[in-house]
Amino acid sequence: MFLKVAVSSLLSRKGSAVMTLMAISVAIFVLLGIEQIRQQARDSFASTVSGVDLIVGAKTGSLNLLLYSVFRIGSPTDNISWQAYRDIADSDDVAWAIPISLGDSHEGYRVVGTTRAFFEHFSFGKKRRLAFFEGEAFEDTFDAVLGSEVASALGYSVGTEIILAHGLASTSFTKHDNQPFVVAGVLAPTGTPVDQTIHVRLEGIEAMHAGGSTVPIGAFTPANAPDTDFSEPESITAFMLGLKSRMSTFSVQRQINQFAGEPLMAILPGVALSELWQMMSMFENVLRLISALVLLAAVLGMGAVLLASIRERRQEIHLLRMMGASPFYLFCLVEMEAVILCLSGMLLGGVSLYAALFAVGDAVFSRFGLYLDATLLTPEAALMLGAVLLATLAAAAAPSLKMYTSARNIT
Amino acid sequence: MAVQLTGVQFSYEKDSQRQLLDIEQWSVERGERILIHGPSGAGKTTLLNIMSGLLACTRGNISVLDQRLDQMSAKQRDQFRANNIGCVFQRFNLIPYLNAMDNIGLASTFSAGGNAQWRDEASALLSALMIEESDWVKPTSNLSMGQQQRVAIARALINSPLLLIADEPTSSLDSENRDNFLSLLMELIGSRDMTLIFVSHDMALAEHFTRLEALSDITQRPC
Repeated sequence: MFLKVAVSSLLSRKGSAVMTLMAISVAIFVLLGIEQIRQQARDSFASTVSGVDLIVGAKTGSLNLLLYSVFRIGSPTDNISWQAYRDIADSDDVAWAIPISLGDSHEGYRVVGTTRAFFEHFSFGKKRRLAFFEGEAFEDTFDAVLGSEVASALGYSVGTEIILAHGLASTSFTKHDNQPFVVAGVLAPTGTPVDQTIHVRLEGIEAMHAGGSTVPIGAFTPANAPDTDFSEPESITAFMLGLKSRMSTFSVQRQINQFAGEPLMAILPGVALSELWQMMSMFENVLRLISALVLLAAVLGMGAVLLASIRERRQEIHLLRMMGASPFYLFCLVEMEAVILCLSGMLLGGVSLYAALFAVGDAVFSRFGLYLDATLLTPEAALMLGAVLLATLAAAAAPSLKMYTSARNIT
Repeated sequence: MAVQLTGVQFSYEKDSQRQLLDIEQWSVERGERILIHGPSGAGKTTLLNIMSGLLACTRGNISVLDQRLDQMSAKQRDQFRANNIGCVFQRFNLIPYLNAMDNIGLASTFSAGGNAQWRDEASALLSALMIEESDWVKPTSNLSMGQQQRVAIARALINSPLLLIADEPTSSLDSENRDNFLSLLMELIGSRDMTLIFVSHDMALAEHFTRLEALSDITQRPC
């Protein structure tokens, strides 16, 4: 009956109740939405690269190495000689190595020279391997494999010929237009920078820079081992290592950092990724602060609306008191109305967020590489909703107290 | 004894020398039907609020149904009122956003231990008060004033109180509705052996009561 009274009381003031409900729903929508995006951004960020034990590049800052080798942001400070790569890749502890050569672009998308090892060993997310949307890994010198975003943005598919340019701008003057590449495969979306990358063979880059004449097309057959039997480049930009045993990670890292031939450094991608994310925690906190403030505004608005309603309820208070209701009962009645508004707001906000995620999920994934899954009620979100409920009770304390005092002082 | 007031004083301002009510000795026997009349502003409603325990008197002894209200805490007085006293006012007798049935149900939740059979009893009361069944679940704001006042009787009687306090309940009714209201009220009270304290300025109602009191006779106001 108590619940019925509170609900009926709210329904009797439909206008203000609905407006308050909307405000709270929007605030919950923002709160949960931001939490969802924040969490997913962190997750998809942390899973940009997985299964790679070490990333090796010329001596520089670890973040810089991570940024250019994984995120294709910024420029490498220096290259690594092919010899150094071979020395490390052939050492006993190493299971596999993926060389990376940067420096070219196509329509603003970075081109990465690598080997087939990339498609065999690189993984992201929870150890997910790269998958092909169409076509297959490159075989010929001038084959290219496109990230999903490159293919969809430029409208390329298997068989399209593309001209690479030196440097990064799409208007670069140095175009290697004597040697077109042919799209051999398109990768499925990953939500990582791989989507925005064009992958070609190392020797393709070498051949292109050499003028396209030194290596005849078709010189490499699928039977060829990926890392051997081609005109070796003089240098590469960086490489990723998979070790036979994770236990040896730190000793291999130390060996590489003390490599005699040239100044190299090895980083653990997981550690570097979390360091990078730390730098963005400020941004995270600002997002959280904003959603908290939106919520505070909504809850205070509700408090104000309820407070204003108490004045119109003097006769009701008197009647309830005469029926035997204690002032505390009336206090609880107002708090209950606030809780009902809050819970309905949570429900409405949550459901609309769910619907919104359902509607835009794919678009967000392909556009921002954010994978928004629909599990809204994470432990953190539940904690937040609990905090919202507490804030509601606190904000409703003012009108409830007003109700209490009017109930105490019947004249 | 239904009500006994001894040396009761009351004023809204603390430490005031001027008492709104100052009653040396006044009592009501069980089963009496008393009409209290007096000019407006004389303190009739205040007297009712003191007898119902809604207001605590500044000084003096109040017994209602042989229980000392002045020795109870506010919470105990609320509970006592819910269990033992029914109230009907001039207007605003029903929660406007609840229907007649729910108003009665709400009143029943305040009595100690609740009342599992309240629906049956409410139906019986509403039928006895000649409220049509289709009006039981209508919003009370859709009921006429006469209907509302009769539903109020049902609401006041649901917890089987021994004392009914009525504050000008007929003042907003036309004469036909007033007579209807009074006869139904007296019938129900008679069958339940209740005490009635009824405040009105309308002396024409006197024939329905066993005793007539002027407020000025009850309280000695300093002139």
